[in-house]
Amino acid sequence: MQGTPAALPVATPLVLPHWTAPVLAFAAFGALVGWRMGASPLSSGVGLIVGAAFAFGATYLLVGAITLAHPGLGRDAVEEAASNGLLLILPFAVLALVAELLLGWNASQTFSSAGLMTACGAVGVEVSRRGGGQLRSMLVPTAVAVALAAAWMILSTFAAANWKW
Amino acid sequence: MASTATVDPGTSPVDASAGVAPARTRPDQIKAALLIFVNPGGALKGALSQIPVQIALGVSGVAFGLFFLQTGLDLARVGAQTLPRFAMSGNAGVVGLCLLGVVYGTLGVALLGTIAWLATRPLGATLTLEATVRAFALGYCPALVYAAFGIVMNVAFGWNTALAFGVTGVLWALGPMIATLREMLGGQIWPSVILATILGGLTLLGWAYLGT
Repeated sequence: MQGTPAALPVATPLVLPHWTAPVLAFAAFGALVGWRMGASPLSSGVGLIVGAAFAFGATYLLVGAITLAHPGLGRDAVEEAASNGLLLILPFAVLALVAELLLGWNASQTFSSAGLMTACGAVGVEVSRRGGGQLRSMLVPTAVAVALAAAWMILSTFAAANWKW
Repeated sequence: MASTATVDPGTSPVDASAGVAPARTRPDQIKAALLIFVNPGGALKGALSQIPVQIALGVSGVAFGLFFLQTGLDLARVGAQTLPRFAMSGNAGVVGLCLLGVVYGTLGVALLGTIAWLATRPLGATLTLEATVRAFALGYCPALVYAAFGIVMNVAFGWNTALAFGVTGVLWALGPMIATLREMLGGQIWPSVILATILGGLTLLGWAYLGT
């Protein structure tokens, strides 16, 4: 049956607002970018706040786009799907912290881009499980993820080039 | 704890409704390998579930072999030791690093799958060890694609690609890994995310220890 929600029962004992995981993750990414720029708690703090704000807006953009593309689903169902799918960005944030702080890599962009694509893809799978069209469920979140990854890359590169601490 | 069987976005509706194991052709498997980018759970439960575990480990072995090869080429380009763990430099080090990557991608990924299988037993998982290792190994299909692109850019244009293409490909394996763990744990997200973070961290730390 087309559009039938798929198998897995979604068991989340801890139900967080859908923006929680991305805000935490991008707070970490932003703090890392800020640290690279100024190597001070102030620059990290500013990066943390900017990253968190970026993620907060990005999450609502993602949910809005998916809701527009699936008028029959309803915003609540999309937010629930986003709440589950966006959890997948957390491993990337943790690994980015390990890579930068423990291994000394300059790789937060790599982790944030891959994390965004994976998490938004997972949101698409969750939407299709709740009755969303298969193709739209994959295309819309992927397109939003590409745009957000590009926007974050431009924002952090611009800040690094022009903001002196 | 087995997951409830219903229609899966990754399988054919006709095959699923017939109630028999769907026959998978090579084009189905190639399509599933690409589908893993956007629907890893569906791809791993569908056409890719028919692939022998040896072939699956071959995929991850080649992916890591190419990843480590890019690392060696990047290090050689900047004049660093190419296999510092074994105090090797130059072309011998590049070849050695590539072979080390193949071993890491086969035995290492098999070990990773085994650790995941053991860790999920107490949580009620019922997937077999073979299916777990196969799913983990095939999760590196995106890594193979990225590594293939990366090696072309590295050799043709002289770019340093280990971080941009190699690490990105390995990170893409986290999605299928989490999907596999969710399947094993009956849909539970938080244990899957935590386990995937630990296993992903082990993978990256292993590369950092061996290859840099």
